[in-house]
Amino acid sequence: MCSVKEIYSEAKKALNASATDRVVGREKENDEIYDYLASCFGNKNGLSVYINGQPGTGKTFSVNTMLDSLKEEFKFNKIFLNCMSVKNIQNMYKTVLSEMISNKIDSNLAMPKRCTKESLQKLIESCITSIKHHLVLVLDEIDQIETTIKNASDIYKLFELPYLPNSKLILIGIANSLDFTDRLLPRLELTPEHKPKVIKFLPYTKDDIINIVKDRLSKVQLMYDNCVIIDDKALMLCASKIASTNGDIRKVLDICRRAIELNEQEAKLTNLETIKTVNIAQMMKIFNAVNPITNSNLDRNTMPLMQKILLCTILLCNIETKVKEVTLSKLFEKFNKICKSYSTSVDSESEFVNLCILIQDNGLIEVKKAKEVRNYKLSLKIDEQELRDKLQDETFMADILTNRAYK
Amino acid sequence: MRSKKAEMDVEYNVEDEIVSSDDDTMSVDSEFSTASTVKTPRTVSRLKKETTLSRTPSVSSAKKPKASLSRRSTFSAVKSTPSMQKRAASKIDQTSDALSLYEKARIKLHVANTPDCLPCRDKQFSDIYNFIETNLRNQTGGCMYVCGVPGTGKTLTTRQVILCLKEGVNDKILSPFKSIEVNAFQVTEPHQIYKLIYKELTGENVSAEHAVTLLEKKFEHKSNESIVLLVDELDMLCTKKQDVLYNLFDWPYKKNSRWIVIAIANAMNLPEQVMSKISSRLGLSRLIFQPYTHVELEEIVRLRLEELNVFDMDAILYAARKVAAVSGDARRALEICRRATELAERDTSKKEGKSLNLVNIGHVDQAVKQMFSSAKITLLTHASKMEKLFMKAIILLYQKSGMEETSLNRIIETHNFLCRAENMQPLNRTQLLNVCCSLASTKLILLEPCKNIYLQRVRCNMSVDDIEYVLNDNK
Repeated sequence: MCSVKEIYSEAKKALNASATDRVVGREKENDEIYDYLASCFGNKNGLSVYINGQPGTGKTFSVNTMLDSLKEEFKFNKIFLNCMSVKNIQNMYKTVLSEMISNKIDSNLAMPKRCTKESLQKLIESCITSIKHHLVLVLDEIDQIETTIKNASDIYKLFELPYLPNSKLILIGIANSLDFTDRLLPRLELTPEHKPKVIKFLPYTKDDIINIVKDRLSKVQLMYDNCVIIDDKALMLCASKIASTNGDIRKVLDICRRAIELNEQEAKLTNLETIKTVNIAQMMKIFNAVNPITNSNLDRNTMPLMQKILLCTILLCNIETKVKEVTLSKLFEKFNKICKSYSTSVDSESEFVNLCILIQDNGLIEVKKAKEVRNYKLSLKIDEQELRDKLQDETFMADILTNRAYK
Repeated sequence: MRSKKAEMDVEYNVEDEIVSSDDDTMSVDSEFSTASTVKTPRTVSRLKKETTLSRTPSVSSAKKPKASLSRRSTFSAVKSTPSMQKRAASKIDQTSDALSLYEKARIKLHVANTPDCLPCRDKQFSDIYNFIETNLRNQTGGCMYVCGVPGTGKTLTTRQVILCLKEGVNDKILSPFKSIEVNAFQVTEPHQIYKLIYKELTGENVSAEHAVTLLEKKFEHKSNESIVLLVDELDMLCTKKQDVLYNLFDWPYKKNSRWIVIAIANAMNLPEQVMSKISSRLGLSRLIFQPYTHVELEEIVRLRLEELNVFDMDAILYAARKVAAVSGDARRALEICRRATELAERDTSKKEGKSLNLVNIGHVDQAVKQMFSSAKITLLTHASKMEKLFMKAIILLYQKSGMEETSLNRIIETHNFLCRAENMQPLNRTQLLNVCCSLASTKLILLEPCKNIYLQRVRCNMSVDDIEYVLNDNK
């Protein structure tokens, strides 16, 4: 019998986002990519694939594992590039070329002395048309290039590379936006054979999520004589909650890991011999803790008094003027009027501005800067009614809100 | 707010407190008086020295030995308490003889003089500690977002966690790891942060562009050492494209990555403001440092002053409550207390022949007033007669028309009228323009430039209530 601590540690390790090499729940998409790529390797021509889907749906991971497994069947080279760190098209070509050189794709290839856009492009073109084996170029976050590469023709050229005569380039683009190809490549749409194949990664469903978590934990469970780490019902709750919002698997793993951590802490207190199963109550506790709305310190009742009064004042100003924005000078006057009746005050303007910025950090209001401090505009960023309900819980604030003298 | 009665109350309190505290110190003196004559020859010698060297009358020199005596008494108490923080102790040890009790208190209350463990932040400490420790043990990567308003101990707590883990490495409990700390304010432009990180990591100086590619290369290979990166003031790294943030939080998710990122910022809603792909990577490990409550602030100040008996307990409570009501910023509370100590010291030196009195509510209140009083009000209070009349003219016009802006021409008319009413010689236009310019240069009023100088629009830059308060107060 191994120690309880070890099980917890192993379980947490298994739930780490990068701690797996098996794709679960993406069989359909994977088959699609596999068929397409395999046909291309057989035909000895180039093609392009565009994969889209929301964050945390396993796009990059699927492609990487797929290519790794294909390596056993076919001979090809792979270059992976994240477009987030690409500055311009020249920079991108240069990185691709240097990768080609370091991978020894073509022995004759060398970095040119003068790196102009055209010369680099020429070099890459000549290279991909002359090489023996295929070259797979994976461009992650490809929708970012439209912000950096302003010239549309450069992007066209990039997507035309696979379709040059004798080209052996396979271009795989991965991104979040659904309409990247339709929006950016209208000219390519005219030639159907040059149209990139679009594969959609839909958000994970409830069952997918359950399968993934179970798969990850199964190894640990097998190792330690089939103990149950997360209760089925708790897992179901987690899966259905995430699946109903965005199906982000990173969030699921994070929540499960934290649930295990919480369980471990509770287990430490009671000094158990065997591992305790994470139950539905613990899972719910984690969900409540990570909910961003309950995080603002207005709810936790830790907000300093003056900040609460300021929120009340903004609320009163909004009701009075029926305009959502209020200038800082007006607010300051009203605020001090209220404060004075409770024999307290904020004297200096800079202090008052500080107070506003602190609430802005909480995400409750927005402060629009202007040239003069007195002309700053403030507006609420949460629902008026919601704020009102929360403030009314406290008698002091309710008093301010209902007092006719301040209206 | 600035009612005279309150001020009088405060003054009354001050005097009251001084008397009572004098009594305290007197009793201390009398207790030690018998022993001191025998035990401390040094004070006696210094007394001689001072009387011979200084020309100032003996009032101050007679007072000093007494003060040093009572300090000595507390100082011997210091040595016997083992719980005291080492660093602070050593600091005082070096210079103790030259310092009065107030000065010691001031050193302890200084913001830069941080204690070895932060009071009232145990939960946050253990949260961060557990997070990093699990990742170190499992050889995995991860990121955590730490947020909270300024002065709540975010950076300090995180640093202490890393120090604590380093000790664990020394004791061979943990495998060694590298820790890097960068502050986004250190760089002129967000992308330069790569350069800084790479430099901290390897000691080499490369361009920012090159640093990214080098760092990314680093993650492709399996490393055998975890790296803990602490990024302070994360919100400064937001660019339009948000690529810096993306990269920082994408690295922990690389395969085999052992990169642990702790990001610190003020805004609680930053993850909701950035792109969804970044907040997906940022995950849900969010830790919020709530502003200190008055109980916690009181504890913080008290722990710092542990064995120095200079503060009235009520005074600490008052300062704590004042700060907790507005911001809950610990730095602020310490600053106020430090300033109050200075004020108390000044009071003591003014009082002739008397020694040490405790820092009381009056001092704290005075310190708060000094720190938070409006500069504009002070400025206007000390403005010249004509400047005040000018402001009065603006207010009169505002009350008459209800418009915030008026033209200079109309103000000049009103000003002349007011001068006559006060039985003074009205100023000519050039003189009045001078008055107007001097007010504008201090930003008490705002001018909107116009071709015709007498038609320019004037508006006051402080609230009408405040101006009225100052002007009425002067009569």
